[in-house]
Amino acid sequence: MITYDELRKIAALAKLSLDGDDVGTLTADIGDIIEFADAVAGADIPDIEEAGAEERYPLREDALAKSSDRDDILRNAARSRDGYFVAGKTGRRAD
Amino acid sequence: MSFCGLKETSRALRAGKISCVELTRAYLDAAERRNPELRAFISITEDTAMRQARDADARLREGGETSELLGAPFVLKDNISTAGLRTTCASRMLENYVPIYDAAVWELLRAEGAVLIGKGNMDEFAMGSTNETSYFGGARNPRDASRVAGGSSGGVAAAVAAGLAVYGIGSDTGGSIRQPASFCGLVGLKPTYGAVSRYGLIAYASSFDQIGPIARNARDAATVFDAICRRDERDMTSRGREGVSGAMTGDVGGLRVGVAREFFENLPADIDRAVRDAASMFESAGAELVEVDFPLLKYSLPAYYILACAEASSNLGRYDGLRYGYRTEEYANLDEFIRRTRSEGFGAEVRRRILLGTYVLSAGYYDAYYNKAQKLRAAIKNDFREIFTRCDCLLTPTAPVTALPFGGALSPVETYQTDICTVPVNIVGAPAVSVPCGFDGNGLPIGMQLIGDAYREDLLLNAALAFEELTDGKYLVAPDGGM
Repeated sequence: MITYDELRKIAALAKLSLDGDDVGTLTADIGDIIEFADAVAGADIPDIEEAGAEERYPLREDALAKSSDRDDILRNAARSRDGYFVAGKTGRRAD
Repeated sequence: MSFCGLKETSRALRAGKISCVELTRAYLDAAERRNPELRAFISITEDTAMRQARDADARLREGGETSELLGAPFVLKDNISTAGLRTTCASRMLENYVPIYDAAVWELLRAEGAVLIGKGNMDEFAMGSTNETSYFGGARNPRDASRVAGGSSGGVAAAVAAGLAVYGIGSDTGGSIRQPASFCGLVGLKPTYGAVSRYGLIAYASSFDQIGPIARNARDAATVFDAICRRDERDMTSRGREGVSGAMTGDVGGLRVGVAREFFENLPADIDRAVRDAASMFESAGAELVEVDFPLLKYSLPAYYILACAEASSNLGRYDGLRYGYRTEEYANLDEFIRRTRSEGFGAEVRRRILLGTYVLSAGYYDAYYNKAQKLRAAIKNDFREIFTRCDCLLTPTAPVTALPFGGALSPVETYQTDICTVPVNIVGAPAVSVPCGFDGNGLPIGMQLIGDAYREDLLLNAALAFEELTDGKYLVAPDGGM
């Protein structure tokens, strides 16, 4: 099981707010999922090396390549100015 | 005309029986007409489709083109990036997101002359097995609109099964191509991890995600796979592979088909019977049935959810509202801005999986859950390696259920348990194909799954073709769309 306090701690790590949630249902749901995952925690598995773990993926050449255009990237931002993303002012409500 | 497979469509276009513009118009009209009921598409890409149709007609007039994909309308899951075309992942978070680059598969298919009809509905960020987590409302099953189309690539499967696209491209992290294919009576191929570039696929769990085709039959799936299985240096895990369709003979003489009893435990009788009948059919055609054991199946599902959610919690960390995506209006400081943006932008299932992933990665739980699940992953890989020394492919049900009622209100864990047969494949990175093999008491399609060793898509699709021929295609979606 997970307690509400533990859930709040996890939510803070995950940068999620629990404000809009039915906290009782969410705590119960996450508790059920963790209980379901407990099968793994309790599994008796020998400490084995992964077969084929030595396989490595080929790397591409370390060379300059064209990247995306700055204005294209900014097009999806809700707010931008002078070629920068704009975050809201911190410490008080945004304008 | 508008309800054919690839071969028939290509033949009609080349013979001039219909122009690609006329064909595309017919598909678009059908999509507009059926979409309010089926919700197969999040976006119908009319302008793109008609432009590509005109280009395809020009290429057909010039002659010399050999691709069967030229001029054939298709659907792309809405987590695959299309520059200039909204790509939402079925999430409020990306409701208005317009990518600035194309996914590798979209580049490849466009080069073949494929015509994009629309972006397929899906579970939000591909997290779900029923399509019910879509922010836009989930796709319905064309065979019975009170049922789900499956998930997470349910919109793609619904569109193909309803004859609104000739084929589709989905993604599969724990069964998201195979299960909706099974629910809708289609062939769905989850390729070997690395066979198809994931460049431009919006990530859920990067070590599990793979792109593949959903089609009306095995030959169509092979034709589409051949077009997309290319090495791409923009995805470092991509290796590509040789095409497979040229080697499909439909001969399964001498094929060793493995059957593991663990996949058949607690199955509904009609699914059990349909898959065992398919095994007998292979045997009658000269294949050899081999009993194998897979005792780690019981750990596969929780191990998968631990690892996939851990990766998801990391991958989805990028959504902060600053650079793209949903952005909250009310906040007092930057931390609250990010937390509110994420909580308002993500749906309940996505938040649950992020929370689980963060939990199993957090101090105090990392060893017990994440590390243990990684060890299980290694053990399962070893088991599969051993299994494929004894057989060429493994035959299982695709899912222990047929299409569920929409809004059936299963708990999260009950929903996860319907993925039991498909997740081991993603854990080991193997290829697998779902093939229609029967109907349940309600007339809903049953799918069987053929799992192969790495890069044996040729063997799997050939076995799928053999089964279609042995059964005269009677379990496939009918030529008129079957509706």
